[in-house]
Amino acid sequence: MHQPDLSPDGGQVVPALVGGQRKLVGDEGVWFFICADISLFGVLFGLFMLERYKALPLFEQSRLALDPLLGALNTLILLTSSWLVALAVHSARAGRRQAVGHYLVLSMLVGSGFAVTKVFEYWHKITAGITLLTNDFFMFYFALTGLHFLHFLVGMVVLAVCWSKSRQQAMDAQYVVWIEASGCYWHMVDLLWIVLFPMLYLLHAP
Amino acid sequence: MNKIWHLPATRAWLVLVAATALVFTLAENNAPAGIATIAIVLLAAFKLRLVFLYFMELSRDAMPWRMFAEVWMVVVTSLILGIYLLTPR
Repeated sequence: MHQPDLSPDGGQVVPALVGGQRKLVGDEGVWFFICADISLFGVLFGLFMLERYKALPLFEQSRLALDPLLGALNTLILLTSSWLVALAVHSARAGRRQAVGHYLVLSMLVGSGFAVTKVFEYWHKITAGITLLTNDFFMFYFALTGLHFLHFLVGMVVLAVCWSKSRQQAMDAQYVVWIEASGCYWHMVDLLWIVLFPMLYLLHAP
Repeated sequence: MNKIWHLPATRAWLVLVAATALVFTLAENNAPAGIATIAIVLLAAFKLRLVFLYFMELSRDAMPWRMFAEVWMVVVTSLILGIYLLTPR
């Protein structure tokens, strides 16, 4: 039976995972999912732009009800959380169990700021009488950010599972592929927000 | 600990934070709306590329996934900018 490395900070470098021998980070299944998912979002971005094309004054007026500061804050939160996950992946490759756990916890803590900001933003809109049914702009706003938020919640669960596994499982090749694949999913959440933020909050009418 | 500052992901994160600050500054200042928006969308494309290459590590030339990512970035950026520029005032 395989004995997991439960030392506080294993320090066992996983040889096949460093030095760039492998070209793909994570596994192909996750990459297939990421490509399919961002393609779907690409279509939704196109639909939003086409509706904006048809009703520019409405979209411009509605956009002004959003707070770009909150959008920018959420961008910084997701970027920082993503970076911390990248550091966790790096630590897992070096077999540093304790560092993996610390970076994952920090990543979830920072990432949870996104949920706080988003809930505040939704609450603020809904109490001001702005909902999915207000107009086409807000239909897109709630649908796109809601779908993105769902991805965010799944990502938080995935990170929590990674953290839990880091405490129970050996820092072996299997764990490294697992954390890399989870990290790629989390970075995708970041990627989608990098497009959503300027598209929804910052496209000024010339 | 100070090793983390030499990692490509850390350098990318610093550039991404600076690019986000620049995007916010462009959006909030009184730059001509059209030029500011074009710059904001191009900066977003630049940020996407950094995330793909240095967080998701596609800089290792993992084909065909890297090719897909590059094409997706170009298509999404062109779609947003193209329709933005064609939208009647």
